[in-house]
Amino acid sequence: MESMEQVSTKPDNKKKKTKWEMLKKDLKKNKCIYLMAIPMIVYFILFHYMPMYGVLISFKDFNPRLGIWKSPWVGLKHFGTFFNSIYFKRTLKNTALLSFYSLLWGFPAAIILALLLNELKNEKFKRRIQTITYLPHFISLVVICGLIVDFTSTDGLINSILSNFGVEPTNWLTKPEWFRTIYIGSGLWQSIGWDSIIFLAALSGIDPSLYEAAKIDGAGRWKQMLHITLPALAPTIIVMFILNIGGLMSVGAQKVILLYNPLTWETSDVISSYVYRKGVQGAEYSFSTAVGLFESLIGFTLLIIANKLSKKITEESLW
Amino acid sequence: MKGKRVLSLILVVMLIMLSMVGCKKNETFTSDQDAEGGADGKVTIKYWVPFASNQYIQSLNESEMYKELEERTGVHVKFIHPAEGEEMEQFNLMLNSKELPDVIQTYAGQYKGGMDKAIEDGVYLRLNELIDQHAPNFKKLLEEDPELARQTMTDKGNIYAFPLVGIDPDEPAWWGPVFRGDWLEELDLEIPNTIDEWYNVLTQFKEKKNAKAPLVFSSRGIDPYGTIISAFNIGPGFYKKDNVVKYGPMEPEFKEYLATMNKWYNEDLIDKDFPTRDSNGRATLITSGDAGAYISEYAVVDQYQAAIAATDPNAKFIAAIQPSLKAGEKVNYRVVNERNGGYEAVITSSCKNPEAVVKWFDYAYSQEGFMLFNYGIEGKSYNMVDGEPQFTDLLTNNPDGLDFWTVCNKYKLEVGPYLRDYKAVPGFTDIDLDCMEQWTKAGTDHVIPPVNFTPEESETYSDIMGDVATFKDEMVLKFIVGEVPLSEFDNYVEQLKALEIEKVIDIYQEALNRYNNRKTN
Repeated sequence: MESMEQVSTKPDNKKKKTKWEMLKKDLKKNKCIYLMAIPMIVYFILFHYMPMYGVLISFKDFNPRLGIWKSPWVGLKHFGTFFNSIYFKRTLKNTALLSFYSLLWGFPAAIILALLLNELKNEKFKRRIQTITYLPHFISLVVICGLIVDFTSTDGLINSILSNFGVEPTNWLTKPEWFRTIYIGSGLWQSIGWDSIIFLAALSGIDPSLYEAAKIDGAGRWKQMLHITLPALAPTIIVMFILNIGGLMSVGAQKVILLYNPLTWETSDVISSYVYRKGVQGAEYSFSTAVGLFESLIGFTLLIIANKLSKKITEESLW
Repeated sequence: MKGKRVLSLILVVMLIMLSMVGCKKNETFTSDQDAEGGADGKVTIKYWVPFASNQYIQSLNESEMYKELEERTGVHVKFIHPAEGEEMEQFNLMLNSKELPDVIQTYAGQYKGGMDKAIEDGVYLRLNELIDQHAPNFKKLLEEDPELARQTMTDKGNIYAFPLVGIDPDEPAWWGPVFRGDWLEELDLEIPNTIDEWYNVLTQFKEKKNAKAPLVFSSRGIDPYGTIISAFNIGPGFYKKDNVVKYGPMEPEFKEYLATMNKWYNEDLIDKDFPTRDSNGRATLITSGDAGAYISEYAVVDQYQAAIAATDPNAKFIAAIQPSLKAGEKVNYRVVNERNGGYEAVITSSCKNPEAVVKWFDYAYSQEGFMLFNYGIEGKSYNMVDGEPQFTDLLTNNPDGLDFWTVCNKYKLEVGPYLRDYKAVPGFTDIDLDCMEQWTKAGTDHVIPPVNFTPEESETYSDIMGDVATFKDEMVLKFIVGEVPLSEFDNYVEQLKALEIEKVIDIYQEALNRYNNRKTN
């Protein structure tokens, strides 16, 4: 009775109350699901949201002993150091190009592989191909890069093949113009199978009766793919594409560092590898955080733009 | 009812969270107790130190030597080892947490801002007074060896750590050039001493022995300890000439060095793949018999010698002196064993009983401590033969078939803060002795001693050197492989100046002046 009275004295609470009631109702109805979600929610709060205040150190001269709060503020000093470096433009350009080309080649490749696998009628053969294509995903990056360095060396595999065609042996990893090709080519080989899994999953969800209906209507395989498979795959493709756009500015340092050398830095030195080298000089927490924040901001902006565009053009979007 | 359900849900969540928090609290509580003292009233030291474990000894807690030391000193040590390969990260994480062990060894010097800053921040303890009162053996060493005193002290006069100290102030060099002795003999060549002789030998290796890589070379194009580049009377990086600091890669002589390397590279005298060759790649190249010469350390030369015997039983490595331009000329840069031998152990402000810890450290610099740390326990790991300690079969001919280096840390200490005799190994091979003799012939006048930067200086240093190193590394390789002609050298020097390299030289100069002016008493 009392609570009812309270509510009635505040007219604008009515809407809130209904929302609260809805939530309560939902909680009651799906309590097991909510209970199962708790660990994940706690995980995200503890490990993703709470540490976020750590970005503060990109505006401070972080000193471990003083902690995040007591370290002195320095404003945009660390951003300035990064933007004023003679290598800022070069690393920015290399990062953007490397991930743009990776997306350009890698993204359609996974879809095409998934489509091709989908057309295979021999289940045994299909599964074998699948296993073979995604096996490289499980090989450690260090091993992969070791192989690449071996294959591309002056007396390596690639040169011994090319020498049959009269190509002068050279160390391909010392040629700046070849770095992107090697990096993206090996990345394609390593991840194409794995990346296609999600598309294959989406494909298996397509109602077979659609294909049957199309066949009755006289549609060949090509027409079936154009009018059934691709439209059904579109939401997945778009979501994956938008997510990939978000990561466009963050090229991981590990593979680049394992493959590059000063001779190829003009095309291979990306933001993260530059920061890594600079960080080696001292524990540059604040500087690394500032650059990380810069990368995230660009990624965030790209993600929002891509999502907006996609909403407008295709009516598909992340949120 | 509804309310009750929600309430119980919230309670469950809180319970889970509380139990997590509870766990953590319990942990800290027990470790706090450890730091104060064991159950039997013994002093206990929590000692953070990186350690390379193997099948024979997993952690220094298993070390027989430290157990014996506990018997003798009544101090119990609890070793904490960071994960191998993540030492730096874990050191930084440890500093970020509020709890510190009592002692930090080896990575302590990485404290950002330097040792004076660490003492100012109240993280490490200043040891001057403690050493004065409680460490007679270490104090004596400092008094007798002003260079050691200078290197164990900061510019502000703080003594901050117990380092490894070599008992022999003239420990031989451990890094230098090595040639295929059997090839030299076969081709009737002398061991080369000058750059021209090197050129001749390498050319013959290439032409007559068909060596794929006559010279295996550092992937950055400059040997880090100055072999070859020192022939041109400069250092590989910052160096000093009559107490004036200079930067090797911008001196005019560096152009001659690059011209020589470029010539060697073009004539296939240097490993064609040197920019992409890592240490494993270099080892494979050397041990497969494709290489004629390389630059390394003597312990590694032993390994290579053993490995190459499998493919070519006649192969024999032989040490050469660091080359000079003219015959008989002395070069002035090589690897140096500083009096402060590193592996420095600091005492942190978390330590409850620093006097006892200092006394415990001091034992390692006493005569008995010297025998214990270098040779272990008499009758067990060594015996006195004709007045000289000699390792027992337990170490030199282990019943489990393990080699000395695998076994040794169980009975003695390989590296750490103690008075060390580099000869405390089962014995050097002839190659080792030859290497030491040849390599030590180079002088050390150009080497800058271990100076300190102030926090402001180290900030300027890392700000500037980040870009300078990138630019220099890139250009050096391009000059050597000929992608950029040497006529660009002057522009390269101008660009280095534009990147404010001279500011760093000034910083180094000031730091060196402060080092030279340190009052050692």
